[in-house]
Amino acid sequence: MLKYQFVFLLSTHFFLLVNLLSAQNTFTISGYISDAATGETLIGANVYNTEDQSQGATTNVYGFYSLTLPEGQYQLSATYLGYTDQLLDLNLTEDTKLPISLSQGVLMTEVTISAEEQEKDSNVESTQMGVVELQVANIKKLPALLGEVDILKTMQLLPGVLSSGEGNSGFYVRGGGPDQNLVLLDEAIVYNTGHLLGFFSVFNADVIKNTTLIKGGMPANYGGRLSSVVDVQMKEGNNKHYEAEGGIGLISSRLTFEGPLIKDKASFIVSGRRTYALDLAQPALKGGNFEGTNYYFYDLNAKVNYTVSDKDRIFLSGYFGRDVLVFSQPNRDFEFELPYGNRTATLRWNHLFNDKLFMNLSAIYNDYELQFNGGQADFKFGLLSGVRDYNLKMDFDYFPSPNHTIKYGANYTYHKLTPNTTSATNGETEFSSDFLPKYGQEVAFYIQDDFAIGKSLRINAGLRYSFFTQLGPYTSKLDGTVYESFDPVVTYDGLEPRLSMKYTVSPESSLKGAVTLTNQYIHLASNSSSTLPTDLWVPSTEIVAPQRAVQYALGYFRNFNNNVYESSIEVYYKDLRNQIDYADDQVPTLSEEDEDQFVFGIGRAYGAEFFLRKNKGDLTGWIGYTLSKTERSFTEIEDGRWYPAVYDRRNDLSVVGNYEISPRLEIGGAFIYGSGRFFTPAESFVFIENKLNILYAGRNTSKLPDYHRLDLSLTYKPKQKKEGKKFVSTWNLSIYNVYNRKNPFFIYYDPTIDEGTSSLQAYQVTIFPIIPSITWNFKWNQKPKA
Amino acid sequence: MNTQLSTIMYPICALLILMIIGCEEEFNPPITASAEQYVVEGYVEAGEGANPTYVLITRSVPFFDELNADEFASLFVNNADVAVDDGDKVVQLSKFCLGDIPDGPIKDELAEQFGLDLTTVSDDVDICVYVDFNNQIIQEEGRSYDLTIRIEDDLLTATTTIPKLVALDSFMFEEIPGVPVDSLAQLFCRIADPSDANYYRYFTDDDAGNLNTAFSSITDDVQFNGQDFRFPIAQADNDDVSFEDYGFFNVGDTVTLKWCTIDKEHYDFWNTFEYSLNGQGSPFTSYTRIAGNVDGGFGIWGGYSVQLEELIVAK
Repeated sequence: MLKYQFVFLLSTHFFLLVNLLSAQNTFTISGYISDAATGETLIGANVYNTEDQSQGATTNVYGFYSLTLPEGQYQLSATYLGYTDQLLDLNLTEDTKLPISLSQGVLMTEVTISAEEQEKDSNVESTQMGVVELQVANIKKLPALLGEVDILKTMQLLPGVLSSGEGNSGFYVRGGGPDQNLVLLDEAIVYNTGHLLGFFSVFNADVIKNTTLIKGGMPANYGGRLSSVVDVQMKEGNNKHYEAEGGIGLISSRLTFEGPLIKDKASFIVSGRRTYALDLAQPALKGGNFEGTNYYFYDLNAKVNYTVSDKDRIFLSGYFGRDVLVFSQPNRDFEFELPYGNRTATLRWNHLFNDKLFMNLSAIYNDYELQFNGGQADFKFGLLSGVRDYNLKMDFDYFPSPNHTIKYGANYTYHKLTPNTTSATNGETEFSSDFLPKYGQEVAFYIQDDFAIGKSLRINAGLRYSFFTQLGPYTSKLDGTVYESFDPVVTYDGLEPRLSMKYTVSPESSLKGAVTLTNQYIHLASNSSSTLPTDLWVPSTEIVAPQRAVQYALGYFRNFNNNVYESSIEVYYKDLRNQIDYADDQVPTLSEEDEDQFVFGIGRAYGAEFFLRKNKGDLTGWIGYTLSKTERSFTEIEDGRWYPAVYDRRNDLSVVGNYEISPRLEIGGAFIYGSGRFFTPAESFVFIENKLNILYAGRNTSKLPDYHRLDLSLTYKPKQKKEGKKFVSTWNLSIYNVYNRKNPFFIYYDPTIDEGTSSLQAYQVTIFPIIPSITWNFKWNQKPKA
Repeated sequence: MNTQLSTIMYPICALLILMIIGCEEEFNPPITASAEQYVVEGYVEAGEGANPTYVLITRSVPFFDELNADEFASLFVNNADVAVDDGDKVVQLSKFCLGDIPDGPIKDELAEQFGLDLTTVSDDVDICVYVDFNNQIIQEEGRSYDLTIRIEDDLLTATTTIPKLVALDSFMFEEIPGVPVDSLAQLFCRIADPSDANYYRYFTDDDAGNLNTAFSSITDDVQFNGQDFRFPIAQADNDDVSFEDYGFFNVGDTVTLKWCTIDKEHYDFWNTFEYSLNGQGSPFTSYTRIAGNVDGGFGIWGGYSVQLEELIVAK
């Protein structure tokens, strides 16, 4: 292992040295690109030489860019979707700091680009494939279940991404399981992304700046999951003036407040959201048998940032969210409380060593915890499970020339994974489970270079080396060895090469290919049809080996009409090893650790994705279609028969659109069609102890009816008496499932033994018929745009 | 009594259903071809009040079939050759059929135990059980029993054990929790659980006076291994079970409690059987395949170490 590390570090330094030597006699333009009105940095904005678009740079996740060019006269263009392009004339004779502020809107500035010139567009230009950026402003215009804007549900409308169930924010990417998605909020891992059993995501859209989904060709700076990355960045807060935003909906309300702490140097944002549907029912429950029963969830987001100097910025951000279920039956002295949720905290330091070398150092804490406390009379029962990480991360972005963008870094995570630990007392006896938390450390080093070879070929080559060590305290189940705290129990490692390449066919089209190896050291298996808050994360141990995957992807990317339309066709094949599941006869229990109930197998997924998106104009939206197949094989499940995974939906179509009828009225719509989910049907029934029970056919050998629905939304902005008012409000009317399609949420069997006859009848349960909702949103701005 | 994590989710589901407007309708899944299986239900017991060893053999029913009483009765296999090896000798079980019993209350009661209303069954259909009438099998703790069933060319085999009985020490009827109800009482028992792994199952009288099981009738001892432990016992399910008085006993009744120690395979069968049965209707449970222990067919051949108690419900 040390040998690998040495080779890795050596190659890193060699790489950098070569590039430093080759970067002489040039000057560097660098700086941050930000929103002119709020000071928020813009992620993924482009700066390029209008004479030669191959001479360009893109801002990183902190809004920083660096572009090194030979001495000379340049016209640079700065572009960002939804913002006015800005042209800048520059005589480059020395290293230049060039902060750029872009204004929202699509009006051109005083200089107009001729029709022949193409805007630079990442769909065609970037080496990355399977990457989609979602802007919150666009998400907010789309219909939402019960009016709750949800970035994860919008993501499910993209090709290759499937919902884990009706109305659920859980998702599957290209045949991967729900645990194979790396969901990051300001770099902190969010282990459970759902509220209310996953019907709503934990991300409050008001505080989100940018969401990036990577479903293929995962760059080397990401790791630890097999299938996808969802990188969510919180806003930093308006550093120019105060602003408040909020809304009142059917089930929840939310409020966000942001503003400068020191104008243009430091800002904050704080945001909260809470549901109240059952709070309103409390008076009706009072005096009844279920008085005190309640359910609610809430989220709190907060972030501050401080620009210490031109070279240093500090960010501190955090999230705290809880679902709380209280069940109370006072007349039977029965009560329990079940709170669960995530906590994250991220402290980041951005430092510029020079105009070409950007560093981010992050210290991250995150945890997910589920508790159950309750009992009846003198019987009390408590349960705790969860996962907690301490993470230190160092990332460098090095921009030696327009032809090279190099990233390298290291990542250390200390994991504590608590299984279901129980304690109980029945008044006189106390008892508890023997299961102890498991510990592990995960370390990764990576380097990647995004470089051009000639005018047509661009390659993103990366290498990630990761290893995971299970740490004590632990007693081996294999040989009884007792490990003390921090003693290594077992170590797994792996090299993860990542290669993406783009061949430019024409200014409007390119061919891309990618091969990605990924390792995953912590896992979650679920025996239900969707993920639940009680599902447990478990580490790799002497019993559980890391999951591994290789993904191959090819794509053709084509833009039309000066990038008004983007399109792509991508095909992929994914080979999955050491997949984890439960055996057919598994019963969830507190008597046995999850890892002792797992079975291990392999998987494969392949498919084709078609995507057409219109980004500009009164009508925006996309059409996405996926044709795919996903299978699993486990020796201990039907002797290794390949069966369709629960993530297998053969056909999946989404048509999403938003049309601006007038500046005050917009209509949004989404139509979704998907093949029916596979399920395991009853084959026959038996009588034992005079009870009718079910024998099932092979796993996932039957299909539910196809899924489809149409959602519509109308956003209305009441007329203002004068422009530039501080307070602006909008009404959003959403109708979920407009034509009241009865999509199956699940099916169940009802065995009946009536007078003289016995039978087994299947029933389909639909939970979301047509559901209209209305939300009132407002925005207050201390200094609105005139 | 078995603590399953998923049970935590049931109230959440109930709340969820309250919160949303759900609806259900009959669903006819695509027809799945199914092979008929022999279904075995046989028990060998030891201890005071132990039943004679017996085996019932039926057939599985294809999902789409609806059975009337005649068809139900015809599921019983009456042409089997059933033998049990108790380690010392092989005992051939005798076939005993309802048709052998003269019409009367005993026959009606037996038929009811099989889930049959004899008035709806035609005379040419018979139900048979294979029984060790003469108690030739040595029914004792610590012994292993091999079951062999031959039905024409088919061979079914199974093995079980009768583990050492871990008896309940004492029984207490107490006020039900919360607001007292004079007519109801809750039963508590005490057990000194040994330090090795033990598995338990219990039955009580239901409203009809038959020994039956509650919502969950089994437990392992992981949560109280090696401890002197007091715990509640729920009365067997009855037809009009309600959330308000589930598991409570009627004051003044005399109830029979059958407490059994079972082995791991026997526990696994009932654990999966009950989870499959109770999970129906929950959107968050997947299917569960019942872990039978019969080779060549499906079902349970189980050993019980039995403690039988008659208790008068009082407070």
